[in-house]
Amino acid sequence: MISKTKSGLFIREDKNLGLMVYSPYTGLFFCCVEEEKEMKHLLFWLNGKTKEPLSDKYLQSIGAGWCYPRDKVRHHGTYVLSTKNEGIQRWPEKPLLVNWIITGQCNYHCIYCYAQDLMHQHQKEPEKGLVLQTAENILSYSPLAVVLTGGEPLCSPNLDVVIKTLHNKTGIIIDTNGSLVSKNHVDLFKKYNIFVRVSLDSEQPRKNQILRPSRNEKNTLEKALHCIKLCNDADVPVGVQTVITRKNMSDVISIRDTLHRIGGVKIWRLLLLTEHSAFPSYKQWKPNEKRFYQKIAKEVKSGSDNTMSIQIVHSNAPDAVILVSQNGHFMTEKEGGKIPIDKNSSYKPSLQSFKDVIDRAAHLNRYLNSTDIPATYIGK
Amino acid sequence: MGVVNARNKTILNSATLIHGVYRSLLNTGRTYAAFRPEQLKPLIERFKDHKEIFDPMAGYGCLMTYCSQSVYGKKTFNLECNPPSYYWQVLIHPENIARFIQLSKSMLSKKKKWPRLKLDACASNDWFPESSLHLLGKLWAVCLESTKLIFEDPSKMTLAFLLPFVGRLGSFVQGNVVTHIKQGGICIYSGWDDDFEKYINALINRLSDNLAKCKQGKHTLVLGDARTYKLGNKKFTAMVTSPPYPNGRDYSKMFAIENAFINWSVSKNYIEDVSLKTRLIGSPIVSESEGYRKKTPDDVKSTKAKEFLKFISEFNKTERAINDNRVYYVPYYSDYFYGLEKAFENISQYLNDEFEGYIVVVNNTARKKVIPVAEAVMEMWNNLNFNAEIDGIKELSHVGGINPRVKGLNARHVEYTIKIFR
Repeated sequence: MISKTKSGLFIREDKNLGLMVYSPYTGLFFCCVEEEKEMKHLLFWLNGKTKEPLSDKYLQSIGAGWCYPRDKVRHHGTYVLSTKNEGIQRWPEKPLLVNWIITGQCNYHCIYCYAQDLMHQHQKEPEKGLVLQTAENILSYSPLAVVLTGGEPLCSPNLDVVIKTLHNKTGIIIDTNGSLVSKNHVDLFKKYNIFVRVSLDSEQPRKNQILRPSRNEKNTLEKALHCIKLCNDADVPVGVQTVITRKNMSDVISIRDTLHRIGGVKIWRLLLLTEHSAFPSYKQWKPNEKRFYQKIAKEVKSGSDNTMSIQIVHSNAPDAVILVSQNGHFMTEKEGGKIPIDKNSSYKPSLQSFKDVIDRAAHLNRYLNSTDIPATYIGK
Repeated sequence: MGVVNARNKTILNSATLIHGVYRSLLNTGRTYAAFRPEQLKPLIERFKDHKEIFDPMAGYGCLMTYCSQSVYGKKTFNLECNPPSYYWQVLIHPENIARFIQLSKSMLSKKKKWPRLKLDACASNDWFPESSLHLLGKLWAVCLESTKLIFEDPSKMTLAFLLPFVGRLGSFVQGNVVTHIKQGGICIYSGWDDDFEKYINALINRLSDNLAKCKQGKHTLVLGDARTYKLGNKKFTAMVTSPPYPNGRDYSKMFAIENAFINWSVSKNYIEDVSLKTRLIGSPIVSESEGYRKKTPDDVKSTKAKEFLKFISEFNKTERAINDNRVYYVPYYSDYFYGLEKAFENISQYLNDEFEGYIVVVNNTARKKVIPVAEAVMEMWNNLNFNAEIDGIKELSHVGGINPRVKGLNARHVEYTIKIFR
């Protein structure tokens, strides 16, 4: 079962891995592999029964935001915490994170939209009853966090209901293009400890507009910047997501330096665009993966001052993600297309189907930032 | 952030958002394609009886810096047509150093007068967002107050002082190589004043370092194009220079943001018109425009260059290669060799009978064929009634190549030192 600690973190004991933690202060996931005695101490600390952290490593990672200043945190790779320094060879029993596409509406038309197939087929917004049922189904798997995505989740008329239903039961992350974020939204995010992830693909307004076009917004980059500022001003933790395409791959180092200077950005996720069987046009935007991993990915991390967590999300394991469509179907990606996790029960898949269909190793690595470069690109 | 190293000197790193090429110049005194001291030393040693050395393509003024710090006591005459490079020379000119340190300290003492901006960041498709130009205009005024008290030519010196920093307030994206910058980007205003302070401290360090090593300061700087500039009755007996290499790099584009600032300063009447009006030798831009005609192999006189251009014109491996050669490579290399011929022809008028000079060039490759720059340069000087011989050869690789991952012959670069004499 997932529980919220006194410190505000979400924890879940996984019989394969140990204690899994999600911090809404930093948007990060942690895996704590410890002996029974140390684990007990850790739980005491997280619940405020002792002020002594297990070690400085714990204080400066999990402790960020509630007992350690967030801006002093330095990120050095993986979030597998262990005083024993052992690697993980086992995979989680249940999903760490579920992506819930709460709406098919969006005011942008990103050239690579991974949810385009869902949006086109399901323009109609789900009824409140279906939303509540879907939330219940998601929570039954005890994910450490749920990402509210879309479409643009701020377009959803059910946003308030969803947030209130999930609040205190799991961590909430919201993916937004930033264009519709108002002061009221930011207050809502603050009230419910929501981590905000803003999409920004290029530092150049013209290029960002090509990658993330909108009929209504003439400067989508400016909107994303404004959203980051609103969140920073209100002390709402914020991250940035960049989809790497052929068009923006060479600008990645420059974006990193700019994000460092904007300040307040806790996580920068880099997602490599993959081919999608349903959308052959994506192929023309696909970046040169070999070049990215062998040169740019290394430079991005080596030149960083480690004040933000740089997470490179590999494109070679699309089945690492768990998606829930706006009408409640649980799905994953496979070879560029979406497939149900459980054909017999797509609204509430069995735990066994998670194990069978989801690449749990990739799922874990994706959220614990465990692998820098896929093995296929190392040493070539 | 700028960091302080063990010797208590400010080292500018990428987080300061100061333009990379200037960070390198401020931190080390050198940057891309600049002369190395060990390259210059053996050449300068040979000019025992020559008092002044001419560099018609002076770049960042490395020859001037070396000569002012060496025991040989040589004066230099530096001609450079790319304004940002010229203004860097102005900044590090030994006769200006002490006054620029004074100006730097004066600017630091006036920190309260520096303009303020409420904006944190802004995105723009131009080189500078409007708010940056507004801020730079105010900063110019503050700086000008001090330069008026220190220099005879305050506008010029204000520009020289501010130019390495203006990129910090620009909106551009640094490409994956130092010479490649792209217009449009995010300009971060928060902390710009801290970065300006770091810039000034780094400049004081650089200038103090130069000042401590300086042994003599008689150097002439001229903003002008070696292909056309008229030097009157001036005659030189010694020359060391290194023209641009045919590697597709455009030094005016490398300084595009600084050149954009210069153009803006001219439009505001802050300075007289010193903007770049011509394409530099080796510029990869070949499209026709007003005052510019696409060059053909017929424009080139050197037979070595013509042979190479013929090879490129006839290279027909693929349809794409044929098209690329026709549209780009033939006009590009034709323009490169034509530019060199024009420059040498113009320079040669100002070399006297006792003249001795050294030209450093690099032969790189195109279409798996060596570009015969050294051979063509020697032929060009022979045609101008000078003797030319190879004085030194050094095998290099990856010098200025667009693609640093190329291997084999394509990565081969050979540096030639060519001696020119009567």
